[in-house]
Amino acid sequence: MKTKLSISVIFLYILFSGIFIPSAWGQTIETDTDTGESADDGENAPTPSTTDQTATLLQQLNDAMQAQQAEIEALKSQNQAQDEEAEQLRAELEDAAEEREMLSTSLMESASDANERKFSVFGFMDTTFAAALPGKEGGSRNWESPVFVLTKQNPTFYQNNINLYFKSEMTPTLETLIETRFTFQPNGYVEEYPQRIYVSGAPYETQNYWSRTDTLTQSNYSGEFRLGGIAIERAQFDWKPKDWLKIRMGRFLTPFGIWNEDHGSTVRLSPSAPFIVTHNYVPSAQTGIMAFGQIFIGNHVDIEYALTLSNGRGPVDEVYDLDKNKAMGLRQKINIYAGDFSMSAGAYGFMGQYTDSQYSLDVYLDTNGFDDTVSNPIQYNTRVTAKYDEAILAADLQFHFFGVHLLGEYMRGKVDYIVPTQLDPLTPLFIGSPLNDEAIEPNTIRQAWYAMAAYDLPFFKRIKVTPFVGIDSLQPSDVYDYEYIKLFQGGFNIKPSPYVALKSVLYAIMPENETLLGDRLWVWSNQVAVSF
Amino acid sequence: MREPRQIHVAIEGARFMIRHYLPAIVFSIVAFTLILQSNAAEAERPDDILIIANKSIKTDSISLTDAKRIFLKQKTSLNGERITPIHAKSNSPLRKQFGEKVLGKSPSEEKSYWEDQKIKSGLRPPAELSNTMRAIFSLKNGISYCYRKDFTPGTAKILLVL
Repeated sequence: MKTKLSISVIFLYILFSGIFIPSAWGQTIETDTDTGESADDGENAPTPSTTDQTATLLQQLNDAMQAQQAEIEALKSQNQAQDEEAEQLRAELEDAAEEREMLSTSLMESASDANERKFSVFGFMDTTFAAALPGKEGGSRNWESPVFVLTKQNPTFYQNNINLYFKSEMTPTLETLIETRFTFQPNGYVEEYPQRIYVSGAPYETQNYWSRTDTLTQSNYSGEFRLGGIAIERAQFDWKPKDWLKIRMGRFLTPFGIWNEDHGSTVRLSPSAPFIVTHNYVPSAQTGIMAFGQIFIGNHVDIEYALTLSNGRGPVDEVYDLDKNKAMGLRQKINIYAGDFSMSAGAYGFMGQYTDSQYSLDVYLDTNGFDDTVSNPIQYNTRVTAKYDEAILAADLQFHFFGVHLLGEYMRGKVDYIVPTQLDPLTPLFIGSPLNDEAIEPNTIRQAWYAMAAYDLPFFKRIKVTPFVGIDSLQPSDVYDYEYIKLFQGGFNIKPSPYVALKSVLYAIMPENETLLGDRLWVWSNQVAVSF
Repeated sequence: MREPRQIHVAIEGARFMIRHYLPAIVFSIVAFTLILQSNAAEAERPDDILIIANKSIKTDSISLTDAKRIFLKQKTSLNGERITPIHAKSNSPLRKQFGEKVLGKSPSEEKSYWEDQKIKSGLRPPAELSNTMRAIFSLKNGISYCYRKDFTPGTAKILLVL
């Protein structure tokens, strides 16, 4: 506006200057049309005084115009500066709005993610395809090998783990974790199978009978279906006041070795757990209380410990201890790490008593009512059917360096019977003794160990490819060596994503001694495990 | 017979060196140290990663190993004080650099680690927030990290510069 006004003023000034100064008219308008030369020269030329006056006016006009031009330029610069300032203010406002939004978001996130009670549900599952191939005997495969009592004879798909976790972190120091395992069993569980004995080709005796659980049922609305089961793997409540002191109560995994606590099929290298775990020579879980913690020493060492007090082992130890003895255990582990190298060594000792018993309510009567000759005419009586003390020592060792993993576990357990159970009458046959219906379980020492080596191939960036080999050994008893087994395995574990593990492994299961029980067995196992 | 004389010469030589050159050596060491320190001070860069903590935390510094233990949730307290680690968003460059420098894990390795921990023991990773600086300002006992260029002096405590 100011610029336009200034231009208008200048225009008016020029206009009025011309009107009120006649000499200026002559000077600017009169020209020789023929020659095109100015008519200023000669007789029509203005007087010097008039010329000076005009020049002065023109000079003043010129000065005024220059002043106005300068003013215009100054105003332009001022406008530009104001525009820049406005732009800067607008940007600052936008930044402030963004910061305010981020602050409110972060405060909300802080409140919801960091401090508030957190509840989560997650889990893992696996699907396996396994095919067994018995060793050759006399040039042909021995498909009648008694080993098929223990493993599948036909190629089979199966789902062994469908585990669902429920976790709640009520406060930074209090949390609960429940892990359930959904299973299609007990459907298909073979509880008993006939054992037919022939003497000199003639049938001598048949023990047991065929008994396989069938959970088939029917819905009025959707037809037949089979019932499955839910196992509670662990249900624990943790109080963690300090790193070096945490208390866990409930059903918890026994803190021994590597595989028992690694637990999930997405974590384990191989589709199957080693004998140490599958045979439960150390109870895989206990119901009771555990104190545990971790002590950090410097930048390269920490020590873990756990003290367990539980019902120990028993036929119903999750719900009831059938003796007054409580099992105790002590776990110690040292972890050493520096750069790409780490090693850990641990041990777990366990002492407990296994008891199985039955009870009855005995009522003593006579013709007049209760039998007065008996001090307690109604009695709760217990009959112990099996009892033994056990002491177990388990040790584990692992190394990791530059993609190489070396790990192994060893356990030795001693079983001393107080009330021995009846031995399977067929068992003596396998050690060359006659059939013995009266034989009882002897005191025994169990041993099992395994060693594995794996290497994370460095050629793959996005997926983790880990070939591995291993050897697994089982000695269930130092009395009967026919059950000694060695297992060799080699395969791949491929993780295309952190949530998926693909495994393919070939097992060679070899009886350690020549026995009637079995021959070599090859098993090809392939598993897809997924965590979610 | 000549050995004691050689020892004597050696001792005398050592004495001579100490008498004449020790001040120069000490001076050189001090000067070198000062130069290193001044260089370190000058080496502050806007993309330095700072491990920061809420001002309520009494600890003034932390080792790299402890930072790793805390952000892997192996350690939950510092000098007896319970702390809450806060991660930057998992797809951010800051988180990636922190993972490589402190945890020694690439993003996919870190994801695998937490998946394994989840299945083994139910352990979940620390909470993730988009603006760790502001989170630490508002969260008592919080510990996190940010770029130096994003750090506002006075709002949090710097425990370690990476």
